[in-house]
Amino acid sequence: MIIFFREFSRNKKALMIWTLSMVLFSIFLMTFFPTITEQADKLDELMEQYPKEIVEAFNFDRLRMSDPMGFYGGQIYIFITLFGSIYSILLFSGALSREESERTSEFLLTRPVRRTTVVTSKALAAIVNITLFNFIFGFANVILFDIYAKSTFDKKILYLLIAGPYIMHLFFGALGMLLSVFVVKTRTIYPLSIGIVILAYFVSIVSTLSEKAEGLKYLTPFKYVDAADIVTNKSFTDTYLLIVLGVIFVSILSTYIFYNKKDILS
Amino acid sequence: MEIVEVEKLSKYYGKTRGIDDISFGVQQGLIFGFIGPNGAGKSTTIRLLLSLIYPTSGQVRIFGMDCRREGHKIRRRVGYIPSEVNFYDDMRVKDFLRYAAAFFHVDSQRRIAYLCDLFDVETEKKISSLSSGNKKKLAILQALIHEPELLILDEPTSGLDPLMQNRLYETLKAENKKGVTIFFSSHVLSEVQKMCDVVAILKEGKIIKTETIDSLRGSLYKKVRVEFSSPEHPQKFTLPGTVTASVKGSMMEFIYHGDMDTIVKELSKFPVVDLWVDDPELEDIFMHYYNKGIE
Repeated sequence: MIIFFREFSRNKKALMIWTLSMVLFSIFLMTFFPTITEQADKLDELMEQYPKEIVEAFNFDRLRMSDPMGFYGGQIYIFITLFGSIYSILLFSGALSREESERTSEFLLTRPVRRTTVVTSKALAAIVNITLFNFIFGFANVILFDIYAKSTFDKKILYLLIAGPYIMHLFFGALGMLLSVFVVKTRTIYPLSIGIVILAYFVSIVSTLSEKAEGLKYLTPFKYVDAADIVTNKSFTDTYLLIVLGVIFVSILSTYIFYNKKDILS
Repeated sequence: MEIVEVEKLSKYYGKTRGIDDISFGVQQGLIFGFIGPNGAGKSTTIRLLLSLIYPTSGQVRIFGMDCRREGHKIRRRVGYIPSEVNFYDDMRVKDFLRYAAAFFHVDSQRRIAYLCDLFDVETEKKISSLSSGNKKKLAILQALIHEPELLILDEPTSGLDPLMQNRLYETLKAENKKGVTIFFSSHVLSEVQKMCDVVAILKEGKIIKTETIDSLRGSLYKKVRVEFSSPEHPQKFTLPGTVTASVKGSMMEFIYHGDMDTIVKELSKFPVVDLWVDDPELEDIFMHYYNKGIE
């Protein structure tokens, strides 16, 4: 509990900044929504002018801007998945590695605690952190859509579109935490973490663009909770959910195993 | 009873040697000196005792418990002063001490106040603003908060001014009197000689000698430099127990290993212009042991 509270309070400021900026960004985007619905016809015409590949890559064929959920899925969703994932992977990968990078792990691990407890406390602190981030962001968007789109949409889809990024954040978080057992220098692990998220994003675009590369969709969480899929199917895809759960489980388990075995060098 | 039991302990980092097949025991209530030059394996041994790293082979037991499996129980009764202090820069001293104490579930407010007073530590300052000497004092404090039964000290006086060094020595002696066992690692021979009951000498990953302080006292090492009044005198001056002598004109320099009284009496037979007596560099002593080992 001591480590949990210390870790949580250490990350408090970043949590507030990230949450506030994402919520403000949503508000900013939503103010365009009424104008967009008014000019829905013109917009659909405009979309037809674009090359087919671009339209497909960004899912504009299935996410219609004039529809509230299409707007959320096409506009806000990309930011909460991409930037939220970057925030999450930095949060989780920093939990253990920052102590080692700043050499405070020597202090921490000479306390009368098991290493298992250290991992549990830090992981829990990060999970609570990212949960709050998603909860506040989601709550703000529910209110925003109540104001701007009234009840012209299926609430279930909105909830799924709010839960999707959360699952993705946990996926990247678990991966980042495992990675940070092996790469401890913050100046290496942070760029690496961000790189992984951005790479995953591009893989998802490539897998949509090219039919040959379609198999790549299993490699990137951006496809696991694809907004267009959710809006179209009104549910998550079971196969993808299983992959996510599997990766999270294996990552967490490996984090415990390897962190317990590793040498903390000075 | 042996508080620390080290059996055939080896640690290799890949192919690099940390320590190689070390065995020793630390008796309860003793101050156990652990001395050797940099790179001899002192810190490796200490990190193994604290299970920050794990052995390649061999075993460490403290309070009769295995360091690997029951490290967290052992560390409840251990205080550790690191040689290089790295604490949380974003914390204030008082918050850090409260955090450090919280792990031991003891009501430590009075102990903290007493120790801060003793070592003259300002509790309102941010850790990032402390000098290295003040950080070291903080490291001493956090090691003593929970009144440990075993203190593991890695170069505890490095970075401290002489006044604080002495206060630390006094504090350690007082703790020792209360029954606290102390594992004292250092490369400063004189402080080990002053503080410790038993001394283990480490070189290149191996313990080359374990001596009681009494036998070390009997065989005091001093670096002696004498200026005689004439260049002939150094040639005539001979004394059993001198090692690695070098002569430049009327100056003579050597390591002396023996009774202080003898050398003073021997020197008094010559007209001495000037005389320096110092603690020798450890390397010199090790050369001495090393040469003996080869014979």
